[in-house]
Amino acid sequence: MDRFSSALLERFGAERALVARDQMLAYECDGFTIHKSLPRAVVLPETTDEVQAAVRIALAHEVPFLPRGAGTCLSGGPTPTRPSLVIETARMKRVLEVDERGLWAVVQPGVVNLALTRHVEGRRLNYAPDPSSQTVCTIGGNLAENAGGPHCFKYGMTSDHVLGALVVLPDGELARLGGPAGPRAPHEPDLLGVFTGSEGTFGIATEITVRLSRDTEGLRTLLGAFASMEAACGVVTDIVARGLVPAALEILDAATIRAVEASVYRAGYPQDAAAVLLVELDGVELALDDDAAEVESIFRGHGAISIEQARDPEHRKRLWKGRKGAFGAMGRLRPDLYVLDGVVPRTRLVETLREITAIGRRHRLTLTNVFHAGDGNLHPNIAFDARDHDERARVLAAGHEILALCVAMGGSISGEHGIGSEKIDHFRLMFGEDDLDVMQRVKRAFDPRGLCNPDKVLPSRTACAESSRWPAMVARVLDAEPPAAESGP
Amino acid sequence: MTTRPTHDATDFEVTARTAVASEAELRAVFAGLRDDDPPIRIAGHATQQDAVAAPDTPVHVVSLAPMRRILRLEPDDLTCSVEAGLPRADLDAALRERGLWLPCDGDGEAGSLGAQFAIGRIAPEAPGPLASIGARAVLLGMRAMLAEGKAFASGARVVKNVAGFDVHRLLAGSRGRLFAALELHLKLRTLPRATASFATDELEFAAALRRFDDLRLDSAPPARLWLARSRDASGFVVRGRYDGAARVVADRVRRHQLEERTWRHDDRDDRDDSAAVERVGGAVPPSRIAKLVAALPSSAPVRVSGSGSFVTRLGRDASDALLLALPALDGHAEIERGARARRGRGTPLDPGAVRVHERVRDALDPRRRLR
Ligand SMILES: Cc1cc2nc3c(=O)[nH]c(=O)nc-3n(C[C@H](O)[C@H](O)[C@H](O)COP(=O)(O)OP(=O)(O)OC[C@H]3O[C@@H](n4cnc5c(N)ncnc54)[C@H](O)[C@@H]3O)c2cc1C
Repeated sequence: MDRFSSALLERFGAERALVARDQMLAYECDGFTIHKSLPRAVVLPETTDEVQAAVRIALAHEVPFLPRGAGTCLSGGPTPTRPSLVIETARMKRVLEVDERGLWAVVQPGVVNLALTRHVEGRRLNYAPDPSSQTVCTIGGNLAENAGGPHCFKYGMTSDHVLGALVVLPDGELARLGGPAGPRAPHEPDLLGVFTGSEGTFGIATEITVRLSRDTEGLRTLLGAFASMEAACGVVTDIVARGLVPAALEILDAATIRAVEASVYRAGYPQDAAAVLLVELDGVELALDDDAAEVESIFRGHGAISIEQARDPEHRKRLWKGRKGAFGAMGRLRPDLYVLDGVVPRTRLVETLREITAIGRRHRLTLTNVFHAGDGNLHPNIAFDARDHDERARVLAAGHEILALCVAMGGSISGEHGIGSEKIDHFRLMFGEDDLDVMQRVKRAFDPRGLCNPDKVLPSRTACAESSRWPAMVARVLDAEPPAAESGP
Repeated sequence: MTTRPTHDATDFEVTARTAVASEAELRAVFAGLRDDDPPIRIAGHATQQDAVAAPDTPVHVVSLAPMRRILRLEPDDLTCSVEAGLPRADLDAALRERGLWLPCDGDGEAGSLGAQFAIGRIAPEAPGPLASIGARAVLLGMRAMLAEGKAFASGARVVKNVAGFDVHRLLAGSRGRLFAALELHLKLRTLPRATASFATDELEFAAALRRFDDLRLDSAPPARLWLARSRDASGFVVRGRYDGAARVVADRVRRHQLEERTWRHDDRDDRDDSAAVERVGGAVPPSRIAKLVAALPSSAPVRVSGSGSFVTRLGRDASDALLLALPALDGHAEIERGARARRGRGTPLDPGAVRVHERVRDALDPRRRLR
């Protein structure tokens, strides 16, 4: 056994230091299975000290290292690109402190997103960011990806809810960025702000202070079905222009509706619709009926084929089931699924979607769209079979064209899934060499030796591409019950 | 409307002043710098130069005040791009005409938007999704220039984006010491359908805090919320503003038995204080506000927002005592305005964060041309 493995085993024991090749298989990729590679070893620390120890062992042996939460990332973030040490946070799932009156909590990074809300729900509190993977994904992964979710139109991204983090820097030292009173700006640059969304390349967060939100009084969930995508998008524009602020505005296109309705995620969406729009209003009970009536009238103004309003929590769950199960339904169509993530100005959604459909057709691909319409955040999904090399090449080509289109529309190559290794080749669609140089300098300021999750976010070399399948992972995410968070320091 | 800020608050030694009207002009200034030239202080309209730490050496002040165009305004997408020297008040006026607003603190101020971000005063004023929000949420992206003359972009113009590292987030609190921001891409909101400003009469502290907490912890908190003791008062007032649907706004005002009143912070311009009085700004977790107030002299003016950010004015001894007391409250603060030698003094910074900050400065301005 090599010295590196021996050092890990000595510090963490065989139960928490995995060094055998067959133990690595579960870590060879995340939700972006087109990139796969085995780590050199995996450790499961439980404390900040142990994360520091793991990083120091890696540094002493010049072994690259990277943090990993639940592995639900869709851009290759927690997938090693070289034989690396994976530092998995699965055993760091304690809620360390909750200050109910201060509206904040300190958690370890492995706390599952929904488990935090469950932990505080008895106190009428919640943790607002709600990625669709929230039953499985971790707060550490959310911080690293700056995760969003269906409700971030109103409530913002993870960066709007993170007050502080204790970070093991890539040189093994500690830094406390922000805290329960928020980041140190106005008095120092917002280092926590730039750490958020750095995709595990600036260090490992071992304690995260998050803002909690009060539960709202009530909810109204409406579904409008439309004969054209133009009509559905027009509703969204009108709703926003009128100053209504729904919690969520989600659209599914015809192909997604068909896939959902043919799957276990069946939600009763009208199958003759070109698009359905799910609108969720929340807030003060007193105003919700008026607001819902206004939304219905906007639906009608745009020629809705049908309108449905949830009557009770069960009904609401059904309306959301199709949206939440959309990726899963698509994943069941073919062995593999590529979930793209691009953003365009909301007013350019319709023309962008038209172009995306044309790209799919041109490449002879099964392409569907489900998206956060309020933010212009598109998720074109391509179902394919990666064993078919020709089809796989067409998938990647279409992906590139779609992202180039988003940029040409004035948008971005990622709204919430990150760059990771997946989009490293697309980075230059959006940024020039000088932008890249400045970002590289900031990366070096955090990670002078370049050993922390190398080859991610910023292009330097192309990561290896091996194909595989991911629906099993999707099912795990969609069907899982969140594990409970543990209490206490 | 065009705001012409008249107050140049520069109170340190200046060797030269240059105002630049374009990226090319700024690059030319940077390119002309020799090693033995004085370093540069980036300024907007220089209205807040006496409210940030003074440079440690005489400086050449480079002002971006002439860069004041609104480059793009997309009401339907709720975004805009502006030059960094644009006075905040000008943008506010242009947005109001279109039924929009920039959802962050500091509205109506004459200083530039670039400076508002760089001195980091853009903090949420209340909890809740309809509150004014922090710099991270409002600033979507930027174009900026390093002292070596390299211009670069970060972030995007759309409301949601996670591509690349968010270097623009470093603008908040950087005070022009990392780079000069040239263009800012901002997130906007539609003006609320109805608003109601309210203020209580003067109350004993305990009663005022109870009211403040009731409002703050409500399931529909006000969009702005402050607990304040003014200069000559012994008691505290709670003031704020509800935004939203007319029925909700009216209901909240009634339910909390609030009196609708317009109000204005009385400390927006505190330059008339004697040099012995210092403005200290910072934040505590909102659950520790009682302890913050207990750490202040009983006559000190103070205002604390619903998210725990605060401003107070103190004599030197009291400032020092507060800076010592705050870490135990998980809070932080800094002397923002006062004698030159005292400005910038604050609660101790985390050594790890200081190291990272220094390394970021080494990376972006290795020759320390920006002070
Ligand atoms: C079905 C499905 C639906 C999804 N829906 C959404 C959605 O609605 N919105 C959205 O934003 N995303 C969504 N995602 C993507 C993914 O769930 C998010 O990116 C999530 O934040 C990843 O969390 P994780 O715990 O799985 O992290 P991982 O996948 O394990 O890691 C993600 C990145 O975080 C880094 N990291 C992990 N822990 C730490 C730490 N402690 N410190 C520093 N870096 C760390 C890793 O190195 C990696 O780069 C979805 C994914 C799936 C499969």
